[in-house]
Amino acid sequence: MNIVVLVKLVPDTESKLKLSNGAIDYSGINYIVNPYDEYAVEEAIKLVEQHGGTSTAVLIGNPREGKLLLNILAMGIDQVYIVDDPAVEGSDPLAVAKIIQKVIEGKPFDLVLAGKESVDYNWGMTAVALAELLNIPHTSLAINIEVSNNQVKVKKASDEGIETFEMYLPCLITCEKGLNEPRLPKLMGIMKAKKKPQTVLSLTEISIDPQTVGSHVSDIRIAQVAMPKEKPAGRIIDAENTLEKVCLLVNALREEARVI
Amino acid sequence: MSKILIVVEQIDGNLKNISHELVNAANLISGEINSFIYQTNSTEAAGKLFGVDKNFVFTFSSDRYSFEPLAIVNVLSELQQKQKYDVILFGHTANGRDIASRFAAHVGVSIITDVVDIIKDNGRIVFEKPLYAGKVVSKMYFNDSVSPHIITIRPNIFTGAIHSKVGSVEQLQSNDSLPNLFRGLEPKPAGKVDLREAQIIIAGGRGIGSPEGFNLLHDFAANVPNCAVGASRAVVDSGWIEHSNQVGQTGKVVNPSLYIACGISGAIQHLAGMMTSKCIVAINNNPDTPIFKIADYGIIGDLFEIVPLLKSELLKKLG
Repeated sequence: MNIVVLVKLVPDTESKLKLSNGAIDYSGINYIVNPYDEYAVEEAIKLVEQHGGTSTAVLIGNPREGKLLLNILAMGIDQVYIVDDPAVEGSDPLAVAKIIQKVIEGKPFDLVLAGKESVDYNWGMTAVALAELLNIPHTSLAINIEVSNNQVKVKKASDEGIETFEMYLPCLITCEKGLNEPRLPKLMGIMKAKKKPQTVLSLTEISIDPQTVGSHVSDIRIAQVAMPKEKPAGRIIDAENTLEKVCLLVNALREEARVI
Repeated sequence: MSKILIVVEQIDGNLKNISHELVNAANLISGEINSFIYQTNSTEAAGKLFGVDKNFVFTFSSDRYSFEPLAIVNVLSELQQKQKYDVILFGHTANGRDIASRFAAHVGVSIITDVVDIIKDNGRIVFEKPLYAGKVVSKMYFNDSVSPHIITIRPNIFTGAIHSKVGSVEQLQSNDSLPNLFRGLEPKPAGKVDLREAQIIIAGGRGIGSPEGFNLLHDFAANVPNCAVGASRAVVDSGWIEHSNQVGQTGKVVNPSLYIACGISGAIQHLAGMMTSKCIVAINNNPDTPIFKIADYGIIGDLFEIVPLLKSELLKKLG
């Protein structure tokens, strides 16, 4: 089976962000593969190992340091398509979904896998929008995926519990933490990775007019970004013994904070 | 005057909290409010929704519990064609974000997700949305060409009771064949409160010491009303507790009235997920741990001694 995996690069979750001139200052920030996309990458490799076929990753945006994509190739992804075009910067989620649609147009696929959202803007729209554009069913928040013949069974971590769905291929699935444990590349994989194809595409090469994407035509405008309000320092509750400390705390929660 | 649609969620005829919060959020925009209610076998839920002018209830032909994004998107699109809503609000929940994204792509617009505040600014509606799980907050609005405006609202933010009229009810039908075949639900254990809807969260980190250590927190949550157990990434990655309990940038973003952090050091990606809690209590035996810098109240000491006492003293107050 042929699997397409959507991959995004995001600032490391350990990084502290700062602003400069009213915008997020990304200088000196370390980038990582979006953690939820790593589950999609691992699942794609696993499914290809089980059922044969190929796995293709698609990245829209700056590939940053080459080692990030080399790493997913070393894990076992077969090839990567990158749309690295400055015009893409600031595109809204639907525009990104349309770019991905163009990248995979004409390439046969059975399954599209993606993270449930990216941990930068926490949007969570792009993958599901792509399913709509491709007119294929989707299930999100997968914590288990089983493929047999032309059907796929997905366990979804919903708000009510774990729901099970079956879909016919082709379809799209978004991945939740808990789906799998992404592997570390082995030496052999690292050696092979450098020889695997990485195709860089411009917007015009996939028949998209650069004027129709990017921040100037985005559906969504950012009026302001700011740091969250600083929380004033609280106080340490001290007393003779633990019971007294707890009683003082409970009183403060009722009388001062009024949360109980 | 805007024409507003809220997409309501219910289970077995009972409205989820998010449904009332959607009405509150819609009231910040002001206009005629309609609701779209799905996954029900009856129109019972509509009778429990206050402050809405008209309810459209989409009943499935089968008695399946779960939802079918494609069928809902189709019915919703027909409704939009007739009613031409200006603003459509969904909950930022497992199902809400799914249908919102799919429906928006269907009508050809992008959405603003996980909205925590709605502000009117010189005739423009501005939405506050945290980025990077709250490390940064943004204010966003829709480009003039965008219609309808579709947003998802974060649960547990637009709270408050509404006491007003119940709207009229109209049923919607669909004969779509459904491409997602629902095969069943393993419900959460009875009485378990959703992390994002909990009023009180008691969360554990490395300081809990072992998987068994979480029994203390589970016991606390089982006894204190409307309380759920949270966890740091470190303990989830170590397999001490399920990922569904994780709070932080790669877990859930929560905002309870009271967040009790037990044995949690306060890594930046954890803080991002719980900083908007109304009140944060930290319990830790290390006085230098960073969590004390952001906690409203701190107790330095042994959590295994403190938590049981806190449970009994809280229960006395809650009586």
